[in-house]
Amino acid sequence: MAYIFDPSKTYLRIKYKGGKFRKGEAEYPDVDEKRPLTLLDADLPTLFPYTGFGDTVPNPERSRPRQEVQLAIFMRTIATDKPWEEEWYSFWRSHFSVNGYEQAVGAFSPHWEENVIRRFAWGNFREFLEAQATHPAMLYYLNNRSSRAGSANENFARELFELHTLGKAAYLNDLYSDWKKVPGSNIGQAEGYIDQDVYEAARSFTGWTVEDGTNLGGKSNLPTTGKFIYIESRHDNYQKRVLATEFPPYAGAMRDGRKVLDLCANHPATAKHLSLKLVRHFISDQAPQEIVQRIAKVWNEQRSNPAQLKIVFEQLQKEAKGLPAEQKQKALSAYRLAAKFIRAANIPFNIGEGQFIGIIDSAGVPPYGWSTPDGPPNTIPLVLSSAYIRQRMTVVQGLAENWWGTGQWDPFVGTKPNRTYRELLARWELVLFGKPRPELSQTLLLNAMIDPNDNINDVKKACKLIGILACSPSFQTEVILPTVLNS
Amino acid sequence: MNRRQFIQSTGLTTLGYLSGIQQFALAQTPTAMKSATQNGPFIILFLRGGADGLSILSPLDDSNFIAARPPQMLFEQNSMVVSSGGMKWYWHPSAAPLAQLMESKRLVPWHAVGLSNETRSHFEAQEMMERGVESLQSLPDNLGIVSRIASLSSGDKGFLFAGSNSLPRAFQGNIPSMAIKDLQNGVPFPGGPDQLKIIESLVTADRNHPAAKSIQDTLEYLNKIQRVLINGEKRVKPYESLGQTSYPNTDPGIGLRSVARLIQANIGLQYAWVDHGGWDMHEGQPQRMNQVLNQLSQGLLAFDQDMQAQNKKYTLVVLTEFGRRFRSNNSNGTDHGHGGLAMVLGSQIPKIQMMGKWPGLNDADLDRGVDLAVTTAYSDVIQEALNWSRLN
Repeated sequence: MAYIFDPSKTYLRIKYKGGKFRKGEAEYPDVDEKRPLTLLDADLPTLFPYTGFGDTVPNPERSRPRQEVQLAIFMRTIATDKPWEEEWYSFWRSHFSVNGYEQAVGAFSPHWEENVIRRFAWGNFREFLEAQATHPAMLYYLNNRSSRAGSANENFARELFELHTLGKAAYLNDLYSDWKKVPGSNIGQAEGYIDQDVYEAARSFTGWTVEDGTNLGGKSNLPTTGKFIYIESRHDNYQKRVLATEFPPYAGAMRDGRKVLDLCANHPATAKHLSLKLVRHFISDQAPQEIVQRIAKVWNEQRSNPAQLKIVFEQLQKEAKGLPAEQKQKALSAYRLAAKFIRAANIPFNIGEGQFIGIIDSAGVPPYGWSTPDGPPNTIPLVLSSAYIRQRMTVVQGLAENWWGTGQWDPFVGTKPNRTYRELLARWELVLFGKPRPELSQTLLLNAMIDPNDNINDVKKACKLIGILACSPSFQTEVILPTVLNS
Repeated sequence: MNRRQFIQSTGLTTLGYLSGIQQFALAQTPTAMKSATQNGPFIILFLRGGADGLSILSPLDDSNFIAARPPQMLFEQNSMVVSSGGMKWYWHPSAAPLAQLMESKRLVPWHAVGLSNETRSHFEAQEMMERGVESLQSLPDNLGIVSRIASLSSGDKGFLFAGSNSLPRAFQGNIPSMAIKDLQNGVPFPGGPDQLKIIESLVTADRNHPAAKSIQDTLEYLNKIQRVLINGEKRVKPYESLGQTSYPNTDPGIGLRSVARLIQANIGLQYAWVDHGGWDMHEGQPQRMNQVLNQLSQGLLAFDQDMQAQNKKYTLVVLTEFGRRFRSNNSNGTDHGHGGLAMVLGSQIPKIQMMGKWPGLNDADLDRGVDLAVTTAYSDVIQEALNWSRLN
């Protein structure tokens, strides 16, 4: 089956009771309708009212941008023939993690998804950094929006160092309390950062904010577009020192912040940190050291290349080729698990009344669903932990048995009429696991007290058995990167 | 403050029998926690994000503090006072239930608690505390702090339970562990127990898969929990506190309610963990503090009343990765700091108003010139709470 994601034919159920806006007499009516996805390409001024500003969007509608982008990601995960590409976006979405369940962040999430994550994921890391640092989703989430000269807000600057670039291995605050003592400082190449660098970087980003209608004094207000704006009067213009590099006073609009991004993007610790993360995410929870080093080398060499990240991805693919499949099993995210089963069973997927969304979002951390900026875990023990394993099996079983109107499928495809249970499951072993796994089918039939040689013509029963077979641990993980290059 | 000064000040904790130096040193080795079995479960409630202890229990008589915070981050002196060493601290209005627990000797606050390590990173500090160490450079073993404590206790360890949606690193190790935030509807399996049995057999047949062992353990304990909770009925009934205060349907109330439910079910729960997020208040702190602190206080009050009504013993330690910056920022918030507030609750709390040594808030007293110093290692707080839990 060809799976095509068409936002205008993908519907979200919108249901809420009417109510009053906070100000004035205006009311909004009861709503119960299925609405196509309309906000995925929306610009920032369109999305801004969903932050709640001006109280013009009914309160229950304000989570719609986030819900649309989550559904779109799920539909793309099903539709793609190259799941590793969606996984690449997923990696960057987790790397620059923002919490879409905070209203203001969620409001901008479709724009962030399209114009930051998907647009820059194959490009240059330095450009990616600036795109995220100037996007309202991040400016709200890590509070740089409100940071101004005086006592700057350190939230963004700290996570920029620790999570987005150099990594916590390069945080040397326990060892040094004076920047001059950090090794390499004497030649302007500090090996790591300390809190003094965080303070100075925070000062560098003061004035990087959002057109959010804030009063600027007197009768002057910022526009209400949700777009990035640099406000000179909020910027701390005096000299600074970040990573042992001097910043002159009054360097010019946005120069200080951009210089911090340059320093971070080019720091050797950033190449190491990102390479380790990439290898863990795409190849193995136990990242082989020599592969990490080779990735870091490519990362460094390609720093100025506009297609740096694409080249890094290709290198990851090459590296993964050399490892046997059992050494590169990665846990499937809940979305990917469902997509894999939908495609395997050839389910004519339909989101139905939408109950399925609630189910799948309890089976793992949904995109934009992680509250802290470190991004969700993706290792086998945490993805398959007790918090999620039951719901993961529920997802598979419910798709198999069509509990939520997601689509009836044909379990007998590829088998001869009046096939036996053994024959039925032998066919599905190949589909689900890519190779014969007779020991699994035998165990399943034995414990279900079914004679393998009996005939099976009952669709419901067949669907159920195949769903149970897909609850095997082997269906919970996969090798992410394809072994055939340039596919 | 350097390491030597830190250890010296740790040695000056208010209680003579709490030999801070020794325990702090030991805390870095796997033998840190003495083996013994406590009376009732031992629970850690972790405030994720770095809670501003200075706002929860405020030194409102200290002019340094008043100068460091804008009026909206302060509150009027009230009658919810803690006195120690000639100083006074005032409970935040939203912490009234905590003041009440303290009055009834079910809670002791412990100030200036934290890491000796100078990290101000959430993720490093949390990991250090969860692993029970003071540095991530040389880890003594692969265990989390709760696994380490449990592995040293005698008798059946059962399983480790987190009333959260993710397994804390504190559980890392070989003891089966569960993370389920909400047990109100039990943990029913799709297709019921018969189908679960079939899936368990599939997991066994697929035993060479890297996830098979952990899935098997998980299914076994889920099944056990479900059997106990369903108790022969058709479906699991929602759990209600036996105390006056019902559990708020927010964090950490939901997780505490799940822990209480397992305690009531008598399935041998000895170690539990609950997360409470939302403490990272770089912006909009006054409103957020009201809300989050209220959730914490109500949750703890509900839990304590529930335990008392059931006549169950327990010990619960409230920890956070660090306190917040002494001086607020220009966003009406506070950035990452150092010394924080811990609390110990339970059925065997000694009659002490306040634990810990107050380092002071003069410029010279501040850690690196910016933060409340740490005078008690977090691991000492845990050790002392374990000691109390073993009292009769």
